[in-house]
Amino acid sequence: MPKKKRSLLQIPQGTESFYLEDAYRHRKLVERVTEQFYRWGYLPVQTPIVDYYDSYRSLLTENADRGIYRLIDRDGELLMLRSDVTLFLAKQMGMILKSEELPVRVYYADTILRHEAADDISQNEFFQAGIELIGREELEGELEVLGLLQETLATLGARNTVTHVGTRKLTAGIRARLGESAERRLVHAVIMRREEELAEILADYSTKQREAYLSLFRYIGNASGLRVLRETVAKELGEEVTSALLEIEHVFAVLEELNLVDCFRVDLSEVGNQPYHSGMVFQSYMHNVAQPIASGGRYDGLLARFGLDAPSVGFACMLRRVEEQLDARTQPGQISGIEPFATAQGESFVERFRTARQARGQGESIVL
Amino acid sequence: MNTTPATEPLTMAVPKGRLLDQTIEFFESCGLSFSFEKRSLVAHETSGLLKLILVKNSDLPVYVKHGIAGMGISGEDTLYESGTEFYQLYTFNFGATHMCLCCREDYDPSMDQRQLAVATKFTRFARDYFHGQGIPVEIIRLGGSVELAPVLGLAPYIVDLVETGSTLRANKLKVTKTLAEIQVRLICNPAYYKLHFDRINAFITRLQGITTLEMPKNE
Repeated sequence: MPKKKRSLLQIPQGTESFYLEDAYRHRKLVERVTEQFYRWGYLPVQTPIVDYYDSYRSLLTENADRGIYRLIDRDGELLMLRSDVTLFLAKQMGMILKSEELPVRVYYADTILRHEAADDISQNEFFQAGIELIGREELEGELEVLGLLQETLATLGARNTVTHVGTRKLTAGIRARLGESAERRLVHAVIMRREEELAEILADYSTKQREAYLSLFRYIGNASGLRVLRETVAKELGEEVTSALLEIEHVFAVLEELNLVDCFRVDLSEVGNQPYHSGMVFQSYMHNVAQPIASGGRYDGLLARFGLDAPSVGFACMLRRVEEQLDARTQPGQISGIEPFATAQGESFVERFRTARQARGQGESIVL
Repeated sequence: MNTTPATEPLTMAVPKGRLLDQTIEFFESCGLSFSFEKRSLVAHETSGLLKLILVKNSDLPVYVKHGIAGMGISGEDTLYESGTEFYQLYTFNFGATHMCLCCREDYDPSMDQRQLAVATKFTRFARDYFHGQGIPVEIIRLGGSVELAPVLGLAPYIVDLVETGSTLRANKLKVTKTLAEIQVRLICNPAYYKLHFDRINAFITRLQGITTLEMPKNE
């Protein structure tokens, strides 16, 4: 194939173009979601598309680091393209906010760029819409974010979704005893539900403690099942773990009062895949989507890295993954305007122009 | 809970060929029988629990990763080469084999160069294995009939799966070292598991029940 033609046909890995009806629907959904965020009291922020790589280096997992596009500026400084809005936002907020301004609620809706293997079409994670609630330490922070997440998914028309809630606090005691490197291995083994590897990492613990941890990390269910499990493991795993589990029970009790609990599950294998997660974490799943459609949680130490020691909780919704599953014709609250446009009738251009102007005045979309 | 209707069968990709026969035989021992339509690549379990999708072995992880099939049955060799992580929910007691380093029977290891030359289909495994041992290695990727490489002089060594050793013997090759034991696993797309965990767990329990009753030494 001629070189010129090939370069025209190729699209760089990790980027995406979408057009016409798809692009219109995307913009409408973004409008709808951001309007929702605003109604909850969140204000927009715009993060830069590039920033200095060194600012984020220690906060990147090995996988995230591999996927980053890097470039060198004219002064020889190493830059990175925005691959995760949360990190860029943490730096911006950490630098400009003052503690007396808290709590602060912000939202974003931005493209991200990261390398993906040529066959890795399942990721489709090129656009994140999300929120951060900064400065709210109590569990009401988690509850606000979970409530807003659920409303956001409903606003998108995403049906057959469920959000799994766990906590990074379960591994804090293990980090204190075995070190950060063992905790990193453990977190990966928990997320991938690898019990043999978990047992190996926890070899220093007594058999009863090890079994207690394993039963926790495999648990998926409701809050009443969690209560039974907590009572069983409390003696073996102590105050820190018990209190983390009680927090989840409390959150689920409130979700039940709000009639939202059916959209959530307790899942203690959700421990958060980012090094900066520090408390409750969650991921949302949708029928027929091979990846989580939203994820989030608490990261109380993240902003401190950039100058503001403030707690933070938030989520990011991978909008493009959801969009692919939406059918505008069948979803409730369908997006108008992506049906074929009507054509203005009239003998002359002037007549058609006037007819169209009148129709548009009545809220119709019409072409000349 | 607003997830998939429980009546929808769980989907599972199964590799065509030898593993398929062993899988069907094993499932039948668990009381699961399948109706195959002629030349069809899809089979339904008669009670509606499972839908099997027959795919090429090396493509199987791709189908599971993209959620076309929620689960899959695959050898660890194929999984490793795919570079994708899945939930590994169960280890089957059939299909186990070994990944081996092999050379000609008359090959003298003192002829080895500073950099080992290895022909293989399993390039990712071979590279990671030797690098893990601190050994520089030149990998020559082949698509099949790997045992020809030492015979024809392409490379002194091959890394390949060895089951009975008969192909090696027929080509006057020998195993120099067993690099890994390869087992057959039931894998699952993590998001699929989260949406169907109760039915998948019940299915695994059913498999484990059979294994415990009939083959206690292997699980």
